[in-house]
Amino acid sequence: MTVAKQPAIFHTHFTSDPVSIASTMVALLDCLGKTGVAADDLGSMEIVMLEAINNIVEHAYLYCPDKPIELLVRKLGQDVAVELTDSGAQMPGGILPKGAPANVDVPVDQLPEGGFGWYLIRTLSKDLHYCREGNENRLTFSVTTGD
Amino acid sequence: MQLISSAIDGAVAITVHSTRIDAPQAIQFKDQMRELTADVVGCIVLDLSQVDFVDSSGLGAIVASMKQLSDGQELELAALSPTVAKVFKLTRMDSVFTIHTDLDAAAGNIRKSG
Repeated sequence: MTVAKQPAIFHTHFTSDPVSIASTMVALLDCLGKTGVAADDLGSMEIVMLEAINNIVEHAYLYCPDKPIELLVRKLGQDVAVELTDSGAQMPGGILPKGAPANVDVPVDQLPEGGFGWYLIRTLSKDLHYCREGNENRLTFSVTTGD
Repeated sequence: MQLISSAIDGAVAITVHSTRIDAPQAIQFKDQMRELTADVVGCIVLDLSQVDFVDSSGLGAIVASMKQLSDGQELELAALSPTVAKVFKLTRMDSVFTIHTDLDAAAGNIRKSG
């Protein structure tokens, strides 16, 4: 059975402001915790989710606080499959950023202060996929739990 | 978010009284760090014992706090939660900072080296 055929274990519409995002994350982590996802995996999930949502807030919605985001989460065995949909600006070039690791082998004054987000998403998730459908962006990925 | 600076053995501890350093709080964190570290001489230990979560913006703000220090000042970290430690490890920032298990370990270490 494919992930898409599984019923959602979590589904909500929220808005692109910090309070709404924070309460959505609390509810999601609580839900996943109750399905038996361990604390370490919840940490990975929180990192990937917030980096993906930050990207929507900053780049798709340019910090407009009242824009809609839909979150749908399914579980298939050990995999937690996430679908995030927004109606903001398209990903530049219509593709996902490469997310290369930032170079930290440099003098202190040249250390990177950003560019970590997509690297964290790509490292902690799998089956990462982006598509533009009409005026919507859809990002899907899975996080494997219980390794 | 509140940052509190207090003297510990041989150094100054700055404790973050917030469970998160993330995108909405990153600028505030950086500004408060600049103010609290301005007059410190020597080692500053950032106590993250109350922080459960740091995202890429928060990580960037911690790195920026180190870059804005003057000569003779050093920034070390203490008491990373498992999730915060994961972000530092994955981005290899754990190789950039001296990281202590907790504030007591940091103070002991500074006492020995000082």
